[in-house]
Amino acid sequence: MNNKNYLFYPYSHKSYGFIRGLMSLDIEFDVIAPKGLGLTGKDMAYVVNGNDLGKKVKVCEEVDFSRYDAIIISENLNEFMETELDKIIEKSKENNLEIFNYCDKEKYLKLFENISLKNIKNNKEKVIKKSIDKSDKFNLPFYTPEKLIIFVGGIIETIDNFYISLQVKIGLEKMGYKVEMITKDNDGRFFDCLKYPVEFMSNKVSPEVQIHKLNKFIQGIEEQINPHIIIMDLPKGLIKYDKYYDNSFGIYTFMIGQSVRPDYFILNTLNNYISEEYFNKLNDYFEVILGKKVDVFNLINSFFQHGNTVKTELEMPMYLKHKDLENIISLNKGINLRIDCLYEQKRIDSMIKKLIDNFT
Amino acid sequence: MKPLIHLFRTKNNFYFYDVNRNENVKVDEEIYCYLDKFLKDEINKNNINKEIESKLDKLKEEGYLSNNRVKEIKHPATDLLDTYLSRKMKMITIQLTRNCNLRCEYCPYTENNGIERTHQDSSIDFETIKKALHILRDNSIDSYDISVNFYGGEPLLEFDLIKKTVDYCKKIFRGKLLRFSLTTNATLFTEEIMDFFEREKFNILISLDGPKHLNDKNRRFYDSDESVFDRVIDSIKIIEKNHQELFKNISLNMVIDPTTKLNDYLLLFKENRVLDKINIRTQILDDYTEDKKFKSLDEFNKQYSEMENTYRLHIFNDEELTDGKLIESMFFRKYQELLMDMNKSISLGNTGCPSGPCIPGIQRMLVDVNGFIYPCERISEINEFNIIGNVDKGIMLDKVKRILNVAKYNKDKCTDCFAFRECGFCVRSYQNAIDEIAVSSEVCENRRINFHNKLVDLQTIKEYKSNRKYKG
Repeated sequence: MNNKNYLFYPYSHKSYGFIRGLMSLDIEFDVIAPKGLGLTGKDMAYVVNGNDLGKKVKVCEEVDFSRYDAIIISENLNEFMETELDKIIEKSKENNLEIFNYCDKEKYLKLFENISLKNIKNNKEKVIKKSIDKSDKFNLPFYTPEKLIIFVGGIIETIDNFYISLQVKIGLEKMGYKVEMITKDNDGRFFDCLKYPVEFMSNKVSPEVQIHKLNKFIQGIEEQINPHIIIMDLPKGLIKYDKYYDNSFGIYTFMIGQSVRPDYFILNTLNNYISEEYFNKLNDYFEVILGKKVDVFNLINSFFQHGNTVKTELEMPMYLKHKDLENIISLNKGINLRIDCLYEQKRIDSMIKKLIDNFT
Repeated sequence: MKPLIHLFRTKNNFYFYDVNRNENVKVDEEIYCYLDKFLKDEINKNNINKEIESKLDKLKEEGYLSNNRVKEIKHPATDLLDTYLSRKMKMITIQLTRNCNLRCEYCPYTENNGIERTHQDSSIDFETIKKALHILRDNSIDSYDISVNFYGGEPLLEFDLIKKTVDYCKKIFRGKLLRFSLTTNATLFTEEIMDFFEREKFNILISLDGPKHLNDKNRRFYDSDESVFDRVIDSIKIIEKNHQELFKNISLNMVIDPTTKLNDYLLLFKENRVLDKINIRTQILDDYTEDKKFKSLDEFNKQYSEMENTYRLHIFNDEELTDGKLIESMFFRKYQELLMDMNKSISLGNTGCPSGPCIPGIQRMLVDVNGFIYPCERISEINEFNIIGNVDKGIMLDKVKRILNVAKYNKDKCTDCFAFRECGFCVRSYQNAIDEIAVSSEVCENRRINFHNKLVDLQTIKEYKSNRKYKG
């Protein structure tokens, strides 16, 4: 994987965590975005108002496909990209690029008919499934995990959940640890991540069964794969936002907390609510539902105006400048809790080191 | 300094509205009258009532009756304005032409007292449109969808430009959700136009001011006596018959003339069943004219109150609502706000802004035929104060800041006003004056009266709910 030169399409804010992962693994790549997104010729970090990453976004027409070995098609396609996607697949075929397709939306699958795709399913999931079936067969009781479990979640679900989870995974693996990461993002499979079991968050399965299945899934990971650490990228919002926006009431966080308790908890928190009192109240809340206080409050740069606009802005919040967050942190040095802003690599590395020091 | 409160009463009870807490507080009549005197400086050392003072002290301990007022007028988005304007634009209204084939009585461009432009035979050119769209594209990185709205005069006079613009938008916004909309008098529809709008999934807002005799009273062709109403209804019928998808995306905008009989508007829906499935929005004509030719009649006001009462009985007593279409369009929003109640607060704080201003360039943005950019299509295009940029230089941050914080020009009045949170003023309210930036006292007073009435309504509804008995 590391020697290949990849193309990535379509680049958008949702893929920021993905390309940061590629960079952390020193994988050669370029990104393509539809012209209408306003990214062409801009640094990749511009999409989230971040500090430059030193690589510009390209548009399909200017790319020489013959220079690449493979193309990654992200799950974050929309219907307005269909025509362009068609062209891109054509060019990829002409130039014998390996195609990694992570988009499993039915309406696009016909575009990939008769195309040889790289196996993008994680084989470990089959093995884990067998373990779950065995537990069910023997009617085994609720499992208590033994490995180190790290939760990464956001007050509101933003792109930072996947980004931070992946960075922690890569950082720990570089230190020699065996790490499994569970996420709902299909793109995570490129990094050998596992997806949440299909029953979890399904409206066809009762909440109780969902919790049991997830618990057995963790058991399966521990028994079959035996990692040192499991990272869980928590889906949806962690807590009800306000009377205008329910933010999923934090239901899935509660359910995950019932199936497994974390040993470390990174919370991605909004930049317009910073006070010791507020953070302490969050800690009290999470201590009850997860059995754990927050270890790191990570300030994110997504900005939502107010409660009755969050829902409409969820698809695409406004992004504040990364460097402005660092100012916010320095203004709040007096708060007796760990607040950070994990956009710079050195800050992530430092956080991971402290995380490991905590447990060794 | 006196507490920032407003006294009001319902039929049976007494209240004060606490501006800092954004909350209505029920008090007994004695306290009410005492507070009234206090606010009028009629309490002195000779008539202090110690018992009432003690009750008021208790309220103060609970955080009420604060004399805090905002020290600095500053909209909360001010500090993030450059980020908003460089990343969060999402919509544009293009003034295709200043010409129109109608001359409506109340149209500000037909006749005004010099505070607005008039109809002109000038249209935008495509290069100007392109520049404006580039500004939108380059500054909408954090917007998932883009809205392009066509306006005039009458935009259908420039149908070819609309087609060209739509094609261009599809090229430069490739990858984003594009929405097109149009505000029209609907007198110039052809099959070709209907086909095009249906294909491109346009949302169409059609102006129609009631049944024929009322619509044609104020809406007239520039150069003929033909009925505008007939032309519009015919178009709507053709769309309903031949363009079902387009028909689903049509709404009506109805301006109600308060010098007529309100009940007559009901005839529109009784006589034209084709309108049953169309959404409508209504507004009562604001009388901005110098000679007050649209001042509301007593009979109109009476019928308005009756309709509102009917709606109220429907909401609270579950009584059936006949003629619901018109009545719902008139009162739904008001009652939605009343049912939602107010958001309680701890304090106004030191910095704030009267509610009202949207963020210019973000919630709305108008480009005129000359390439000047304005916050929206509702404000005067001849007042330079209102220009926030142009298609060559883009949006100018300082001009946007000035408009966003326009209440600074009225600071002394605003910060001392009980309607601070709810007045709804924006730069449009400052339009009557060109030489100075000021809000007229009459306009201010009307807002205060409206807010007072809202407070009374809010508590009346709550009283009704708490006294209601189950009849099952």
